[in-house]
Amino acid sequence: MLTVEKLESGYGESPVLRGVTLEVRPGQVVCLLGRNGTGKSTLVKSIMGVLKAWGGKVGYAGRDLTRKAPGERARSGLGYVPQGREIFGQLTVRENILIGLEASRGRDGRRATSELQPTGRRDEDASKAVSKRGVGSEGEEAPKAADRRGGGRGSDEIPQAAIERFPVLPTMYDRRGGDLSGGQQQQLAFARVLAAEPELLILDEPCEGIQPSIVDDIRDVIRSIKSDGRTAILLVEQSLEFVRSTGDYVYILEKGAVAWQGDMEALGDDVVRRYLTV
Amino acid sequence: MDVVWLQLFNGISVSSILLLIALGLAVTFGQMNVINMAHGELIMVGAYATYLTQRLFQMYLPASWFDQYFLLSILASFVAAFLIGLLLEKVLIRFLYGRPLDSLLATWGVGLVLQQLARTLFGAPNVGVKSPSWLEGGLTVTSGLSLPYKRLFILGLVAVCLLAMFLYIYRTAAGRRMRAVMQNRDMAACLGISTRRVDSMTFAIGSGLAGVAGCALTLIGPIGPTIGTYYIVDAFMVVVLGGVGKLVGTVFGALGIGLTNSLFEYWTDASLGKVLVFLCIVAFLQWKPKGFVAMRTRSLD
Repeated sequence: MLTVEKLESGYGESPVLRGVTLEVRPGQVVCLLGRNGTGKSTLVKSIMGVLKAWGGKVGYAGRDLTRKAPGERARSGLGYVPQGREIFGQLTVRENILIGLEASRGRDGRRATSELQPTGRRDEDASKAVSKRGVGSEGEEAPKAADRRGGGRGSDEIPQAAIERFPVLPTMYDRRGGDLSGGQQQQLAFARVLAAEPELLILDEPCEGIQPSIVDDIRDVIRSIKSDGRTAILLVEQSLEFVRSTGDYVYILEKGAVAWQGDMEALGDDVVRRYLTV
Repeated sequence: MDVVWLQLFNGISVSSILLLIALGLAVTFGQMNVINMAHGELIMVGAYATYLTQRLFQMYLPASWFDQYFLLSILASFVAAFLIGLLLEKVLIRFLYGRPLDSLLATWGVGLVLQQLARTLFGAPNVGVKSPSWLEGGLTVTSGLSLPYKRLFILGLVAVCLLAMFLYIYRTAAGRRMRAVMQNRDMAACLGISTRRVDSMTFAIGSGLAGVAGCALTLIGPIGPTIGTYYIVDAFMVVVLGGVGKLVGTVFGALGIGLTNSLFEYWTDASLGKVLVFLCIVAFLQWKPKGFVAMRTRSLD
């Protein structure tokens, strides 16, 4: 689905990535590991298009995205939760999520057909959504699941897909994003990107710098997205334990290049000692 | 005393026109880091659009309809300046984002071209625009103080424009995109917003407002090819004084400059008044280099 070939990039005059090749298949959770300063965030930013590629190729679903603007990449199905969350501080929570919907505006093919599904399929969707929703939110939210995707393009309604995993967000729709705590902002960053129902979710250290109780919530969310099976994930993460329990495939970066890759089972202690122990 | 009140009133009315001009500048200078010297010429475009509307009414429509031309000309001046701004953004400005010095030179050149174009089309001398009869006269407050309807109309026009801007920015999806791009361009792009389109719309709307300001200026005096240059410096002062990055600051900046301008001009004379105003601005910026309202959030760090 996502193919990165010999990607080179960097900041200003200094190169960081020196020819990274990786691949993410549909529904897969691919983890990106490496010590500090090995180019994980740079790689993720280059895939999103925030940083220009100096060389190599970024392809997605058969299209060459190397020269496309970030907006077009998002509209073709990539969702990005950056390091540090990057919530719009002056916009309300509601507005932040609605901005997330922009990526589904004018999305062709896939999106259009999914909106025109016969109702039977949609109900099945909805019941799935209910069954995997977070604890403590079942009762009151269940009816709403039926209007999942009901809003359609261009409307100002917040889709169920965005908030079904974050029952706390609807209680603070009118607060400004900047007034939220770090953990709440991270939940908002997830809701914002999930609003457009991306096919590939790129998460850059989603649990960094937030309180431990929310870390577990965020991890549960990532697991539930994985068990959903509709969304592939490219995850930059520090916690080996979490990577081991959730990931399918691992790339380890060193000095801006892939130093090791393999299935999760192959990630043994020797590899960890060699590439990850500080 | 009445004269002072009248001067104050005139000051507010000048402020309101400055505000219309400066809003567009505040956005392009504050958010996109482009110094648009051609902004003054967009005022001129609006003024000549008003003039043309008037001529068309005089030539082709019955005289009894003439008084209604001004309402149409507001729309015409907005649309004309909007379209020229859009064109300017598409062919030139978008290559200059984040390069203030290059943009200063390039847009100054564009300004000269537009001025010459106006001279060629309409002639070098100023042209007068006849105000509609329903704006003649004034509202008598006391025996010595009468507020001209024209100035009142300008105030109302600016208020309507501001309200429309506010509704656009805070109540529509396009405005939401605009605010998102202003706050965090990269993240907005990563969420699927086409920053290119938002930039051109923002620039064009700012240009359109300058056009409306040009239309309002036709009520105050004759218009000519260089009308924009009178106002562009003041408008930049408003933006800097108000604080780059915050539109509320622009409102304060416009009020401050408009009021001090007309008061100083009344107490001294036109040129000395200007000198005093600029002295005040320099002194103020020494005291508060970031202007009235500085962005204090972490987002700018």
